[in-house]
Amino acid sequence: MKLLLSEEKDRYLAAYDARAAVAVAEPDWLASLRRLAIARFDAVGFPTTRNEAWKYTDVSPILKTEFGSSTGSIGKLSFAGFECLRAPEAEGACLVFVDGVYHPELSSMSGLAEGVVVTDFATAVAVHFDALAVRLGVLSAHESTPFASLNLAMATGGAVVLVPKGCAPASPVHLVYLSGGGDEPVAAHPRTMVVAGESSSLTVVETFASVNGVASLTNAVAEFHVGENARVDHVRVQREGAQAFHVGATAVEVRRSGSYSSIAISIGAAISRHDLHVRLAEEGASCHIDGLYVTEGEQHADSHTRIDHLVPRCSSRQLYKGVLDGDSRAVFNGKVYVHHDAQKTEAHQTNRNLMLSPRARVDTKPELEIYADDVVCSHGATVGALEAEEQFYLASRGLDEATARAVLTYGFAEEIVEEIPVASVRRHLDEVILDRFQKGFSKG
Amino acid sequence: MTALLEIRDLHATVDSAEILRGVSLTVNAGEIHAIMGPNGSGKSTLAKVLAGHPAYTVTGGEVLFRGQNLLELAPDERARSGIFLAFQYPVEIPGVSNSNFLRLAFNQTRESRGQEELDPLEFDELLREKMKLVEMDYSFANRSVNQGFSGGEKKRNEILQMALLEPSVAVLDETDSGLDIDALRVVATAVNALATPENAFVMVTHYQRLLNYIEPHFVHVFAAGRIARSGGKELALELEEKGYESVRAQSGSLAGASEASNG
Ligand SMILES: Nc1ncnc2c1ncn2[C@@H]1O[C@H](COP(=O)(O)OP(=O)(O)OP(=O)(O)O)[C@@H](O)[C@H]1O
Ligand SMILES: [Mg+2]
Repeated sequence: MKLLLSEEKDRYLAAYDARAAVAVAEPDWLASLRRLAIARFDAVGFPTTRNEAWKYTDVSPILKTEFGSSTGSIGKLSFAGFECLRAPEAEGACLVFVDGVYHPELSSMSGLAEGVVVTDFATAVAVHFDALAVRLGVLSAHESTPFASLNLAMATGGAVVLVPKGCAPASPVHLVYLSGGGDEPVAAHPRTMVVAGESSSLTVVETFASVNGVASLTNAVAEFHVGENARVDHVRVQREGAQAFHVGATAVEVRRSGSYSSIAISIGAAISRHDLHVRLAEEGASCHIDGLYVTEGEQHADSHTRIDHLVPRCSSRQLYKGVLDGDSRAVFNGKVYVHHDAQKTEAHQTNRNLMLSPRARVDTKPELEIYADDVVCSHGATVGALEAEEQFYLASRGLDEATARAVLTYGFAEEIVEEIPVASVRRHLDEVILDRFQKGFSKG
Repeated sequence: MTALLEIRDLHATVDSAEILRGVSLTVNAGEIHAIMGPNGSGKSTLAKVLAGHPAYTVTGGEVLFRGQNLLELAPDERARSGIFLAFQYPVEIPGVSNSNFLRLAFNQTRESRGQEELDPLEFDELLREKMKLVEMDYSFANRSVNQGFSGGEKKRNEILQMALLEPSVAVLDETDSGLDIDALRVVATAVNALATPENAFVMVTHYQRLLNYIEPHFVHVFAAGRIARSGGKELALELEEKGYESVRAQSGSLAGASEASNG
């Protein structure tokens, strides 16, 4: 096991060297960040299930696949399939990446509000280095996983969004990360950086989807700096293909009286993992993080969240829901960490799982660690099947069993989906989810 | 003429406790029946057994709907063939909008009857019309089914469903309980508007006042899992006056009472 993993690690180290050899010269600050990151990755290596944070998620199927480095080819891109992924609300503020490579011809930045920067990573490195250099990797280092280190070492594509003080763009920014654009399996390491200035407000949608059925690895990292009094709404939709692997990390820091809301949807990929880490760093900061994972067949979805209450008078709310069918597996691990000084903290966390199949399995672990004494905290997890009384009620109105089950399952998921602030994204997910449940039940 | 619904010596258990102990009742097209009786006597159980609730086991007797064995049908098949139960305690379905739910129910029922389904726009028009009938604000169409509805609003929603699905036999289980006087009038108006010579209503109620609005052809008194007495609407008045004790006192001579009244 150990040997195997070190061999895999060597392959990724070699990919790093290969990239470094051909890459255009990068500024020193970035080159040294990358060297540190790859050294950290080298020291830690890929996690095994002996590692507590990866106990239920075995990454060896990901590591066994040999991924080439991405060219960003879009040979297989079907425009019709792709268009439905683009939120019309974000027309004019939409960046599209294929296997981590920025595609300006698919993107549009014509509708940006005055002073707002939405640009690709390479341009940001060249033009907005002052904003980037002081922040890149700072948040993701707090709870860094080897995958996040690898991302920082390798990332060439990605998006940088800068919203100046007091600015509140009316339309959302949409970042579309497509995988599997070519014929060969490739790995992509896209990087997102969002900086919301003081009293600004912003909605960001990240969509991860696959172009076709080629195996792929998306190893994505996003950092969100939510400034004083700023408000960021973040929607993260992972609906990659059945052959895809997805590892993602989102690191957030919220300043005084700022608020961060996120809805993380995970319905695709063979194996997926998302780490969300929010630091409530100054008084009055708050976050509201919701999530939905929907799995079927042999899928595996792992959601790890951590909220740090670092100072007094912050609040956090969390609701993660899961719908599991077939032989699928899901993991929920949510830690709320209330630090010693964080008096008057309010933190609520709930995880609810709906099991549609006796063979599906969820490992749920809500954790509260409280080192302050004047706090209001709650947490809980439930695992259950569809309610018999609800099924009977629908049947008594003439709905056949498959439809009734689909409707109830949809209703369960809807509590999360209906909160998505961008209508087209919400409607599209509605369709995808209802369709999936209907298919699932009429099979069974 | 075959009766619309014929219940013969029906026995049913839940968790091996016998709740229905020989219910017999014949409901013909065009009739309105009222069932009264003390708490826990089995009225809701009868309603749920007719609708096919899986928690209840029929241990004896039979139920014919238009001469066909109703009990061999699954709950959804019963509903589509024209049996409707307005629940005493309607269930909340979070996350599913009332209008989507109603449209699904409506279209699946239509489809099974060989009628054309309505598209969302057409259905919406019909829904608005029916909501007017039960004096429900249109905002209830967009809320989750029954979620956070008040007791009376849930009951109205049941009547709305009945109005849309146009069943042949509607069993209303205490639809009048917890209704204010306006809501009671609304329910009564709806039932009277929907009643035709082709369909029938069975109303479970504790209150004679409902029967001032909807005049039943028959009143039955349920006791200990069967119909203990049957009569015309004057029976309801008698019960209001004397309570159920008088029925219990007579329970020695119950056999055949229900049949006698249905002739
Ligand atoms: N699922 C169940 N498990 C156990 N007992 C049950 C169940 N359902 C009904 N019963 C019992 O069966 C009896 C009849 O109940 P039912 O609800 O039919 O009465 P009811 O006549 O409708 O009363 P009410 O007027 O209070 O509505 C009661 O004693 C009740 O406790
Ligand atoms: Mg009852």
